[in-house]
Amino acid sequence: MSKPALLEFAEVSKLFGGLAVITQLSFKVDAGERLALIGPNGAGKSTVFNLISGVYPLSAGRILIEGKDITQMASRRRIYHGVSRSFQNIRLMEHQTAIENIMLGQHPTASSLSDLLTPYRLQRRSPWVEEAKEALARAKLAQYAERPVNTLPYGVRKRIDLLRAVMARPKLLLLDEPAAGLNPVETEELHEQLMAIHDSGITLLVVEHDMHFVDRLCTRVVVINFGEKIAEGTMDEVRRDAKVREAYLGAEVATEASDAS
Amino acid sequence: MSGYAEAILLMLAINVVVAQAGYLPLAAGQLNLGVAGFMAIGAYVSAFVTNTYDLPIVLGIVSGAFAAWLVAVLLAVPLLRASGIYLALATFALGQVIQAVFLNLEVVGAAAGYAVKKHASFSLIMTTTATVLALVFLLSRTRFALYLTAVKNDPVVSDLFGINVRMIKVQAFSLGALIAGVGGALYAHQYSYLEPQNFNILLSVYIVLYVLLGGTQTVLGPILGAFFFTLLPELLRGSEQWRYVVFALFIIALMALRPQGLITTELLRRLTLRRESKG
Amino acid sequence: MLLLQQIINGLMMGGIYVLVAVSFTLTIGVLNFLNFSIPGIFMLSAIMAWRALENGWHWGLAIPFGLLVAICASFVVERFTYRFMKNVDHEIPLVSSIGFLILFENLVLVAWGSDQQKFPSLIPDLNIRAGGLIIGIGQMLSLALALLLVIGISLLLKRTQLGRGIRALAENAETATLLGIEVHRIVPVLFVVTGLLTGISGILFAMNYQQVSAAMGDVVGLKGIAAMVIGGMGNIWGAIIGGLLIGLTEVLSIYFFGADKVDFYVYGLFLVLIILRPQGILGSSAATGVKL
Ligand SMILES: Nc1ncnc2c1ncn2[C@@H]1O[C@H](COP(=O)(O)OP(=O)(O)O)[C@@H](O)[C@H]1O
Ligand SMILES: [Mg+2]
Repeated sequence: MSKPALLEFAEVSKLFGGLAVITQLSFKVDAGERLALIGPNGAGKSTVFNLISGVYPLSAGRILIEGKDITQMASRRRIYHGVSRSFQNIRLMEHQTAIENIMLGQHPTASSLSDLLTPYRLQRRSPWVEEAKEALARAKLAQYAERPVNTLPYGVRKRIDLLRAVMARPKLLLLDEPAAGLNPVETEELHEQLMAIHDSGITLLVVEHDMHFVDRLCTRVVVINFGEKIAEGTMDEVRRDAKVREAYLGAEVATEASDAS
Repeated sequence: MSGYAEAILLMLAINVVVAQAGYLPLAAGQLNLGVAGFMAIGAYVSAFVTNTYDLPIVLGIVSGAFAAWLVAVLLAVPLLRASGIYLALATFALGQVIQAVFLNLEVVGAAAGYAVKKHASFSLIMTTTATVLALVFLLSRTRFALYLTAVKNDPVVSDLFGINVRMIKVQAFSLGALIAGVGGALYAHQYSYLEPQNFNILLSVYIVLYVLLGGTQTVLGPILGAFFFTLLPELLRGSEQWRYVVFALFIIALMALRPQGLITTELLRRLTLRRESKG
Repeated sequence: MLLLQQIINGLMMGGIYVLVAVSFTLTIGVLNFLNFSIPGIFMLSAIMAWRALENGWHWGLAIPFGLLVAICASFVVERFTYRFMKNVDHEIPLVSSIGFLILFENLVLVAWGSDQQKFPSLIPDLNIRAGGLIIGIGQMLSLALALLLVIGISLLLKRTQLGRGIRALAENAETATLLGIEVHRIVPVLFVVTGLLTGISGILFAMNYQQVSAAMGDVVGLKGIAAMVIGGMGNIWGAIIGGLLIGLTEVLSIYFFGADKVDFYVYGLFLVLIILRPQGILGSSAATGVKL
């Protein structure tokens, strides 16, 4: 028997009130992949992330991590099973420093009672602080380490949000529009950062609108519209798909795609 | 030291302790308007066990604090189903109920009040205060303190990072109650006479005011708030009512102009940076 | 028979609580703001009317004067609390409003001391005696006035342009702004309305009990909060039920258990309800939803 997929989304539906936001959606993420989940605004991409991380309960279907059913698992437990995420709208502790925010992501690896009660801020060199500083340095953000995040530019905050999620050492990292609002230089840095994260053994599931970014980063794409899967494959395959052109990519990108081919 | 200075210092010490009782829950986003109720539990329990069983005051303080903590833990789970204004109102009602219980509890004198036989020495009160402050300071240097902020800031994100939000909330609430119990016990052995009316809603309000005035981002904030509140009335001349008028104006102005309180992490950071660049 | 008399007294007292509870419930329901200055405004209107009467004013002038002071005070509270409450923790405006309560009470203490002052009885002290029961005309009138006012407010909310604006604001401030509702105009009006209601209840209290003091608002205010919570925060009709229920609980627990235990039962009921049923008796299912 082959190894089960890292994440399996099996016939999942989600209704808000009477409104079906996700309908019978199935897809798999294999370990080591870089998978993109794309679709127009309001297609249900963030909702998929919220279902995986357990913010909302499912209306129907199952979610499995490495073959283990996590559908009923409390949202708090899921990070211990290797799933962590970033947020479309940055959700940081605004008055805390970059280091402190990133340290929140260390919780799954530092959750014993003695970890909780160690006065690390009195230690000369706390391993947690050092780890956070190193992560910032690797992301070329060392200069912002001690600054409260509400004083930092948007692109930096966005990547601190990402670093926090990485700090949990997940198997699967869910990124909700990581490149949104970044300038070209920052986007390039983000690309390198994500490739490095992937090289360290983390599987990526990325929601993103910037198609060039997706094209360069991801090996495979799942397209959803109105909560249903309409296509799946490599970026080239998806581009050629008539349904995708019509429903999602729209005239502009469709011509762009045919120009390219 | 003059008797006056000593009296002020003792009042200050007790206020500094209870300010920490208000601070811990507030750091987790809980406005506890029933702190005075937990003080009352600490005060009456300590007074009762030292009066009845002739225990040393230190054991009285420990029992009082433990009793307040226990009541808080038992009530925390139902109480913390509420948050925001609902929690403020629920704790307010709880404070009133606790006060009403002591008003009717004959073993501790009910409405007539209760005399406390054992009087705490100056050094005992100071040592206890220093101990409480040291422990809270240590706690503020831990991940626990970081999680208090995280839970206040965004419980959903905290939960997704694996933090037991309920547990952190219960701890913040009950540790606050524990410290309030210590403060109440100190009060009992300092002023030697307890009346249920001493622990009314206004006391809870003042405690919360110390904390918000000083700021909830640091441990230093509430301490400064308590200093301010204790010393300002002494510095202001005129009648007690005038002091309160000035004081009220001060609160209103501060909340409008600097809602984060006098001391913020940002301010401390800038002060330390300046010191480093000078040094 | 004595019990029935107590029930009637409880309902009369409840009428005062109803008005105070409606003031609380309006600011909570629309702005999610627990306005602790309301007991201060309650006291201020009664005290100012009393001062005017002492200075020989006709009651037809003295009462409007008291109400005017209440409205102005409420307006000042709005300037310093709600206006600054955007983007701050929810406890900040609450704390400023406590600041105003302390301010109002101590200003009155400075000016006129803490003694109970006699408020002249303006309504002839007539009673209806029916089958051994005594019902004060004044009390009955004020209960009727309280209920009428609440009905009036409810109509105002349902029927008028202003009312629709207030309800939209209660639903969601952002959407209200998008719909072109001028939030910065509506909020002051809301404070004027609650100031007026609170002022009326203060003066009714003074007329019925024929006394005023700096601390007169405290107990009534706290009971008003309890009434609001019991009826369901943000629910006007709930405030009526809550107010009457608190009035009843109060007199009945005095009757059955003695005066010392009143607070235990009143606030005990309040505590149990806010934990088990935070939406109150009449509230909608969502604890923070809108029930105007
Ligand atoms: N908590 C919620 N309650 C009701 N509707 C929601 C909720 N969250 C999302 N939706 C709806 O679900 C749809 C998909 O939203 P979302 O997943 O955020 O889309 P995307 O991320 O693809 O832009 C939208 O129509 C949105 O209004
Ligand atoms: Mg989205």
